[in-house]
Amino acid sequence: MIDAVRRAQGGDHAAFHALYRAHVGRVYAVCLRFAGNRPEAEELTQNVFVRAWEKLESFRGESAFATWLHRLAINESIGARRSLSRREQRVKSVEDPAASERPIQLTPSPGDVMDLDRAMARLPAGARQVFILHDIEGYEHQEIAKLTGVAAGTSKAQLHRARRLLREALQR
Amino acid sequence: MTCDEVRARLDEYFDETLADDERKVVAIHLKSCAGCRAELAALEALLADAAGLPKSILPERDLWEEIEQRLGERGTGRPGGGSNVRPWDRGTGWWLAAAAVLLMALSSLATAAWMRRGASLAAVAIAGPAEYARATADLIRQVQAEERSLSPATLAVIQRNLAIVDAAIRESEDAVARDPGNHGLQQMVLSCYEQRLNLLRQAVRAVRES
Repeated sequence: MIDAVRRAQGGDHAAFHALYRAHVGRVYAVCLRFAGNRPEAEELTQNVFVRAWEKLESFRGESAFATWLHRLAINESIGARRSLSRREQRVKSVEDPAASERPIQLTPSPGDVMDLDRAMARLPAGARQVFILHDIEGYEHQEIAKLTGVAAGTSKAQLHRARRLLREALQR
Repeated sequence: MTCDEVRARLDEYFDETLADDERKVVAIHLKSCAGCRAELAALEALLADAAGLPKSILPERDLWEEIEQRLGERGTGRPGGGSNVRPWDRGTGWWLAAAAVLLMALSSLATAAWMRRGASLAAVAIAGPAEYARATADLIRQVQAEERSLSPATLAVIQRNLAIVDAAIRESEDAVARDPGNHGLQQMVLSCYEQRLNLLRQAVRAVRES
Protein backbone atom coordinates (compact mmCIF):
# COMPACT_ATOMS: atom_id res chain seq x y z
CA MET A 1 0.00 0.00 0.00
CA ILE A 2 2.91 2.34 0.73
CA ASP A 3 4.14 1.65 -2.76
CA ALA A 4 0.73 2.57 -4.19
CA VAL A 5 0.79 5.84 -2.25
CA ARG A 6 4.27 6.68 -3.58
CA ARG A 7 3.26 5.87 -7.15
CA ALA A 8 0.06 7.91 -6.78
CA GLN A 9 2.12 10.81 -5.43
CA GLY A 10 4.08 10.57 -8.67
CA GLY A 11 0.89 11.03 -10.68
CA ASP A 12 -0.02 7.40 -11.34
CA HIS A 13 -3.81 7.25 -11.70
CA ALA A 14 -3.81 3.44 -11.68
CA ALA A 15 -2.10 3.49 -8.28
CA PHE A 16 -4.62 6.03 -7.02
CA HIS A 17 -7.41 3.81 -8.35
CA ALA A 18 -5.95 0.96 -6.28
CA LEU A 19 -6.00 3.22 -3.22
CA TYR A 20 -9.61 4.13 -4.03
CA ARG A 21 -10.60 0.46 -4.23
CA ALA A 22 -8.85 -0.33 -0.96
CA HIS A 23 -10.35 2.56 1.00
CA VAL A 24 -13.66 3.53 -0.61
CA GLY A 25 -15.67 1.40 1.84
CA ARG A 26 -14.29 3.13 4.90
CA VAL A 27 -14.61 6.58 3.35
CA TYR A 28 -18.16 5.94 2.16
CA ALA A 29 -19.18 4.63 5.61
CA VAL A 30 -18.06 7.90 7.19
CA CYS A 31 -19.72 10.02 4.49
CA LEU A 32 -22.97 8.04 4.59
CA ARG A 33 -23.31 8.47 8.34
CA PHE A 34 -22.62 12.20 8.20
CA ALA A 35 -24.84 12.83 5.18
CA GLY A 36 -27.66 10.49 6.20
CA ASN A 37 -28.55 9.76 2.57
CA ARG A 38 -26.98 7.99 -0.40
CA PRO A 39 -26.76 10.77 -3.05
CA GLU A 40 -25.01 13.18 -0.72
CA ALA A 41 -22.77 10.41 0.60
CA GLU A 42 -21.70 9.57 -2.96
CA GLU A 43 -21.00 13.22 -3.71
CA LEU A 44 -19.04 13.57 -0.46
CA THR A 45 -17.03 10.42 -1.19
CA GLN A 46 -16.07 11.77 -4.59
CA ASN A 47 -15.05 15.06 -3.01
CA VAL A 48 -12.89 13.23 -0.46
CA PHE A 49 -10.95 11.35 -3.12
CA VAL A 50 -10.53 14.42 -5.30
CA ARG A 51 -9.29 16.32 -2.26
CA ALA A 52 -7.01 13.41 -1.36
CA TRP A 53 -5.49 13.54 -4.84
CA GLU A 54 -4.97 17.28 -4.53
CA LYS A 55 -3.35 16.93 -1.12
CA LEU A 56 -1.48 13.69 -1.70
CA GLU A 57 1.86 15.45 -1.92
CA SER A 58 1.39 16.67 1.65
CA PHE A 59 1.02 13.08 2.95
CA ARG A 60 4.36 12.34 4.57
CA GLY A 61 3.55 8.94 6.05
CA GLU A 62 3.60 10.05 9.71
CA SER A 63 0.27 8.26 10.07
CA ALA A 64 -1.17 5.36 8.12
CA PHE A 65 -2.68 6.38 4.79
CA ALA A 66 -6.04 4.99 5.98
CA THR A 67 -5.92 7.27 9.03
CA TRP A 68 -4.99 10.28 6.91
CA LEU A 69 -7.84 9.56 4.49
CA HIS A 70 -10.30 8.92 7.31
CA ARG A 71 -9.49 12.31 8.81
CA LEU A 72 -9.93 13.90 5.40
CA ALA A 73 -13.35 12.25 5.07
CA ILE A 74 -14.40 13.63 8.45
CA ASN A 75 -13.18 17.14 7.63
CA GLU A 76 -14.89 17.08 4.24
CA SER A 77 -18.14 15.88 5.85
CA ILE A 78 -18.01 18.59 8.49
CA GLY A 79 -17.29 21.23 5.85
CA ALA A 80 -20.25 20.09 3.78
CA ARG A 81 -22.47 20.14 6.85
CA ARG A 82 -21.35 23.70 7.62
CA SER A 83 -22.29 24.86 4.12
CA LEU A 84 -25.62 23.08 4.34
CA SER A 85 -26.29 24.61 7.72
CA ARG A 86 -25.81 28.11 6.33
CA ARG A 87 -28.22 27.25 3.52
CA GLU A 88 -30.81 25.88 5.92
CA GLN A 89 -30.63 28.95 8.11
CA ARG A 90 -31.38 31.16 5.14
CA VAL A 91 -34.18 28.95 3.85
CA LYS A 92 -35.81 28.80 7.28
CA SER A 93 -35.53 32.54 7.74
CA VAL A 94 -37.22 33.15 4.40
CA GLU A 95 -39.70 30.33 4.15
CA ASP A 96 -40.51 29.04 7.60
CA PRO A 97 -39.04 30.79 10.63
CA ALA A 98 -40.66 28.27 13.00
CA ALA A 99 -39.17 25.21 11.31
CA SER A 100 -36.27 24.88 13.75
CA GLU A 101 -38.65 24.93 16.71
CA ARG A 102 -40.68 21.91 15.66
CA PRO A 103 -40.17 18.80 17.77
CA ILE A 104 -38.27 15.98 16.09
CA GLN A 105 -40.21 12.72 15.79
CA LEU A 106 -37.99 9.69 15.34
CA THR A 107 -40.25 7.00 16.71
CA PRO A 108 -40.86 4.35 14.04
CA SER A 109 -44.31 3.42 12.82
CA PRO A 110 -45.77 0.20 14.22
CA GLY A 111 -44.05 -2.77 12.61
CA ASP A 112 -41.16 -0.66 11.40
CA VAL A 113 -37.91 -2.18 12.60
CA MET A 114 -35.40 0.60 13.06
CA ASP A 115 -31.68 -0.11 13.10
CA LEU A 116 -29.11 2.30 14.45
CA ASP A 117 -27.86 3.55 11.07
CA ARG A 118 -31.40 4.32 9.94
CA ALA A 119 -32.23 6.01 13.22
CA MET A 120 -29.08 8.09 12.97
CA ALA A 121 -30.02 9.18 9.45
CA ARG A 122 -33.24 10.63 10.87
CA LEU A 123 -31.49 12.70 13.53
CA PRO A 124 -31.23 16.47 13.10
CA ALA A 125 -27.95 17.03 11.28
CA GLY A 126 -26.21 18.83 14.14
CA ALA A 127 -27.05 16.12 16.66
CA ARG A 128 -26.08 13.41 14.18
CA GLN A 129 -22.73 15.05 13.55
CA VAL A 130 -21.87 15.25 17.24
CA PHE A 131 -23.06 11.68 17.91
CA ILE A 132 -20.84 10.38 15.08
CA LEU A 133 -17.83 12.38 16.18
CA HIS A 134 -18.16 11.55 19.89
CA ASP A 135 -19.68 8.09 20.09
CA ILE A 136 -18.39 6.52 16.88
CA GLU A 137 -15.18 8.37 16.07
CA GLY A 138 -14.15 8.94 19.69
CA TYR A 139 -13.56 12.71 19.68
CA GLU A 140 -13.82 14.73 22.92
CA HIS A 141 -16.18 17.70 23.12
CA GLN A 142 -13.29 20.19 22.99
CA GLU A 143 -12.02 18.58 19.80
CA ILE A 144 -15.52 18.58 18.31
CA ALA A 145 -15.81 22.26 19.18
CA LYS A 146 -12.58 22.98 17.34
CA LEU A 147 -13.55 20.88 14.34
CA THR A 148 -17.10 22.12 13.92
CA GLY A 149 -16.95 25.66 15.28
CA VAL A 150 -19.64 25.12 17.92
CA ALA A 151 -19.08 25.64 21.65
CA ALA A 152 -18.16 22.58 23.71
CA GLY A 153 -21.36 23.11 25.72
CA THR A 154 -23.40 23.00 22.52
CA SER A 155 -21.65 19.79 21.57
CA LYS A 156 -22.60 18.24 24.92
CA ALA A 157 -26.22 19.34 24.52
CA GLN A 158 -26.37 17.96 20.98
CA LEU A 159 -24.94 14.64 22.14
CA HIS A 160 -27.49 14.41 24.94
CA ARG A 161 -30.27 15.13 22.45
CA ALA A 162 -28.94 12.62 19.93
CA ARG A 163 -28.67 9.82 22.48
CA ARG A 164 -32.16 10.52 23.80
CA LEU A 165 -33.70 10.59 20.32
CA LEU A 166 -31.89 7.42 19.29
CA ARG A 167 -33.03 5.56 22.37
CA GLU A 168 -36.60 6.66 21.68
CA ALA A 169 -36.30 5.60 18.05
CA LEU A 170 -34.86 2.23 18.97
CA GLN A 171 -37.39 1.97 21.79
CA ARG A 172 -34.79 1.44 24.49
CA MET B 1 -30.88 13.69 44.02
CA THR B 2 -34.17 12.84 42.25
CA CYS B 3 -34.48 10.35 39.40
CA ASP B 4 -34.90 13.21 36.91
CA GLU B 5 -31.73 14.85 38.18
CA VAL B 6 -29.83 11.59 37.99
CA ARG B 7 -31.07 10.82 34.46
CA ALA B 8 -30.05 14.28 33.31
CA ARG B 9 -26.52 13.37 34.38
CA LEU B 10 -26.30 9.83 33.01
CA ASP B 11 -24.50 10.89 29.82
CA GLU B 12 -21.73 12.54 31.78
CA TYR B 13 -21.71 9.71 34.30
CA PHE B 14 -21.18 7.20 31.50
CA ASP B 15 -18.59 9.39 29.78
CA GLU B 16 -16.79 9.83 33.13
CA THR B 17 -16.88 13.60 32.80
CA LEU B 18 -19.03 14.22 35.87
CA ALA B 19 -17.44 16.05 38.81
CA ASP B 20 -16.35 13.65 41.58
CA ASP B 21 -18.90 14.78 44.16
CA GLU B 22 -21.81 14.45 41.72
CA ARG B 23 -20.49 11.16 40.44
CA LYS B 24 -20.59 9.72 43.98
CA VAL B 25 -24.17 10.90 44.50
CA VAL B 26 -25.29 9.41 41.17
CA ALA B 27 -23.53 6.11 41.95
CA ILE B 28 -25.28 5.87 45.31
CA HIS B 29 -28.65 6.61 43.69
CA LEU B 30 -28.08 3.95 41.02
CA LYS B 31 -27.47 1.29 43.64
CA SER B 32 -30.92 1.79 45.07
CA CYS B 33 -32.96 2.69 41.94
CA ALA B 34 -33.79 -0.02 39.42
CA GLY B 35 -35.42 2.48 37.04
CA CYS B 36 -32.31 4.62 36.72
CA ARG B 37 -30.12 1.51 36.40
CA ALA B 38 -32.30 0.44 33.49
CA GLU B 39 -31.81 3.88 31.92
CA LEU B 40 -28.05 3.51 32.27
CA ALA B 41 -28.17 0.00 30.81
CA ALA B 42 -30.14 1.28 27.80
CA LEU B 43 -27.54 3.98 27.25
CA GLU B 44 -24.74 1.42 27.48
CA ALA B 45 -26.52 -0.81 24.97
CA LEU B 46 -26.93 2.08 22.51
CA LEU B 47 -23.26 2.98 22.71
CA ALA B 48 -22.21 -0.66 22.38
CA ASP B 49 -24.26 -0.78 19.17
CA ALA B 50 -22.59 2.42 17.98
CA ALA B 51 -19.16 0.96 18.64
CA GLY B 52 -20.11 -2.14 16.68
CA LEU B 53 -21.32 -0.39 13.52
CA PRO B 54 -19.54 -1.55 10.35
CA LYS B 55 -16.40 0.43 9.60
CA SER B 56 -16.72 -0.16 5.90
CA ILE B 57 -19.77 0.15 3.63
CA LEU B 58 -19.37 -0.10 -0.12
CA PRO B 59 -21.34 2.40 -2.22
CA GLU B 60 -24.03 0.84 -4.37
CA ARG B 61 -22.34 2.05 -7.54
CA ASP B 62 -18.75 2.57 -8.58
CA LEU B 63 -17.79 6.20 -8.08
CA TRP B 64 -14.36 5.95 -9.65
CA GLU B 65 -15.32 7.09 -13.15
CA GLU B 66 -16.63 10.42 -11.89
CA ILE B 67 -13.68 10.83 -9.57
CA GLU B 68 -11.18 10.18 -12.33
CA GLN B 69 -12.96 12.61 -14.57
CA ARG B 70 -12.61 15.24 -11.90
CA LEU B 71 -8.93 14.54 -11.53
CA GLY B 72 -8.86 16.10 -14.94
CA GLU B 73 -6.11 14.20 -16.73
CA ARG B 74 -5.80 11.07 -18.79
CA GLY B 75 -3.31 9.17 -16.66
CA THR B 76 -0.71 11.90 -16.35
CA GLY B 77 0.06 14.77 -14.02
CA ARG B 78 1.04 14.88 -10.40
CA PRO B 79 -1.28 15.27 -7.42
CA GLY B 80 -1.50 18.84 -6.26
CA GLY B 81 0.11 20.14 -9.43
CA GLY B 82 -1.52 22.99 -11.26
CA SER B 83 -1.85 21.10 -14.49
CA ASN B 84 -3.77 18.03 -13.42
CA VAL B 85 -6.78 19.68 -11.83
CA ARG B 86 -8.10 22.18 -14.28
CA PRO B 87 -9.91 25.33 -13.27
CA TRP B 88 -13.20 23.99 -14.57
CA ASP B 89 -12.93 20.90 -12.38
CA ARG B 90 -12.84 22.85 -9.18
CA GLY B 91 -15.20 21.55 -6.50
CA THR B 92 -17.38 24.13 -4.80
CA GLY B 93 -19.96 24.53 -2.07
CA TRP B 94 -23.04 22.44 -2.72
CA TRP B 95 -25.70 25.00 -2.17
CA LEU B 96 -23.98 27.58 -4.29
CA ALA B 97 -23.40 25.01 -6.97
CA ALA B 98 -27.04 24.05 -6.80
CA ALA B 99 -28.01 27.68 -7.12
CA ALA B 100 -25.91 27.90 -10.24
CA VAL B 101 -27.76 24.94 -11.74
CA LEU B 102 -31.03 26.70 -11.21
CA LEU B 103 -29.63 29.78 -12.86
CA MET B 104 -28.70 27.68 -15.84
CA ALA B 105 -32.26 26.51 -16.12
CA LEU B 106 -33.84 29.92 -15.76
CA SER B 107 -33.49 32.77 -18.15
CA SER B 108 -31.79 35.80 -16.68
CA LEU B 109 -35.11 37.60 -16.84
CA ALA B 110 -36.89 34.91 -14.88
CA THR B 111 -34.08 34.88 -12.36
CA ALA B 112 -34.28 38.61 -11.91
CA ALA B 113 -38.02 38.38 -11.41
CA TRP B 114 -37.55 35.62 -8.87
CA MET B 115 -35.04 37.70 -6.96
CA ARG B 116 -37.33 40.73 -7.03
CA ARG B 117 -40.00 38.66 -5.32
CA GLY B 118 -37.64 38.50 -2.38
CA ALA B 119 -36.55 34.86 -2.32
CA SER B 120 -33.14 34.43 -0.78
CA LEU B 121 -30.29 32.88 -2.65
CA ALA B 122 -30.52 29.75 -0.56
CA ALA B 123 -34.26 29.53 -1.04
CA VAL B 124 -33.78 29.18 -4.78
CA ALA B 125 -30.92 26.73 -4.37
CA ILE B 126 -33.12 23.72 -4.73
CA ALA B 127 -31.37 21.65 -7.35
CA GLY B 128 -29.02 18.93 -6.11
CA PRO B 129 -25.24 18.83 -6.36
CA ALA B 130 -25.44 15.78 -8.60
CA GLU B 131 -27.45 17.77 -11.14
CA TYR B 132 -24.86 20.52 -11.04
CA ALA B 133 -22.05 18.00 -11.47
CA ARG B 134 -23.79 16.46 -14.46
CA ALA B 135 -24.52 19.80 -16.11
CA THR B 136 -20.99 21.06 -15.55
CA ALA B 137 -19.47 17.74 -16.59
CA ASP B 138 -21.33 17.96 -19.92
CA LEU B 139 -19.74 21.31 -20.68
CA ILE B 140 -16.33 20.11 -19.55
CA ARG B 141 -16.59 16.97 -21.64
CA GLN B 142 -17.38 19.05 -24.70
CA VAL B 143 -14.31 21.20 -24.10
CA GLN B 144 -12.00 18.32 -23.30
CA ALA B 145 -13.12 16.23 -26.26
CA GLU B 146 -11.90 18.86 -28.69
CA GLU B 147 -9.34 20.58 -26.55
CA ARG B 148 -6.45 19.65 -28.85
CA SER B 149 -8.01 21.70 -31.63
CA LEU B 150 -7.66 24.85 -29.54
CA SER B 151 -4.54 26.92 -29.90
CA PRO B 152 -2.40 27.04 -26.76
CA ALA B 153 -3.05 30.77 -26.55
CA THR B 154 -6.85 30.29 -26.60
CA LEU B 155 -6.62 27.50 -24.03
CA ALA B 156 -4.47 29.71 -21.83
CA VAL B 157 -7.02 32.55 -22.06
CA ILE B 158 -9.87 30.22 -21.07
CA GLN B 159 -7.92 28.78 -18.15
CA ARG B 160 -6.76 32.20 -16.99
CA ASN B 161 -10.30 33.58 -17.04
CA LEU B 162 -11.67 30.58 -15.17
CA ALA B 163 -8.94 30.99 -12.57
CA ILE B 164 -9.96 34.64 -12.14
CA VAL B 165 -13.63 33.72 -11.71
CA ASP B 166 -12.71 30.92 -9.30
CA ALA B 167 -10.71 33.39 -7.21
CA ALA B 168 -13.71 35.74 -7.21
CA ILE B 169 -15.96 32.85 -6.13
CA ARG B 170 -13.63 31.98 -3.27
CA GLU B 171 -13.49 35.59 -2.12
CA SER B 172 -17.23 36.12 -2.30
CA GLU B 173 -17.93 32.76 -0.58
CA ASP B 174 -15.64 33.80 2.24
CA ALA B 175 -17.44 37.14 2.46
CA VAL B 176 -20.83 35.38 2.67
CA ALA B 177 -19.45 33.06 5.34
CA ARG B 178 -18.49 36.10 7.41
CA ASP B 179 -21.77 37.90 6.75
CA PRO B 180 -24.34 35.22 5.92
CA GLY B 181 -27.35 37.51 6.03
CA ASN B 182 -26.04 39.96 3.43
CA HIS B 183 -28.27 39.65 0.39
CA GLY B 184 -25.99 41.79 -1.78
CA LEU B 185 -23.08 39.45 -1.12
CA GLN B 186 -25.24 36.45 -1.90
CA GLN B 187 -26.13 37.97 -5.25
CA MET B 188 -22.46 38.67 -5.86
CA VAL B 189 -21.72 34.97 -5.37
CA LEU B 190 -24.51 34.06 -7.76
CA SER B 191 -23.14 36.48 -10.27
CA CYS B 192 -19.70 34.87 -10.01
CA TYR B 193 -21.16 31.43 -10.57
CA GLU B 194 -23.14 32.67 -13.52
CA GLN B 195 -19.92 34.07 -14.99
CA ARG B 196 -18.23 30.71 -14.45
CA LEU B 197 -20.97 28.93 -16.32
CA ASN B 198 -20.90 31.51 -19.09
CA LEU B 199 -17.16 31.03 -19.41
CA LEU B 200 -17.64 27.29 -19.76
CA ARG B 201 -20.28 27.86 -22.42
CA GLN B 202 -17.95 30.26 -24.24
CA ALA B 203 -15.19 27.66 -24.03
CA VAL B 204 -17.53 25.18 -25.71
CA ARG B 205 -18.29 27.73 -28.45
CA ALA B 206 -14.57 28.39 -28.90
CA VAL B 207 -13.96 24.69 -29.33
CA ARG B 208 -16.74 24.39 -31.93
CA GLU B 209 -15.46 27.36 -33.90
CA SER B 210 -11.81 26.27 -33.86
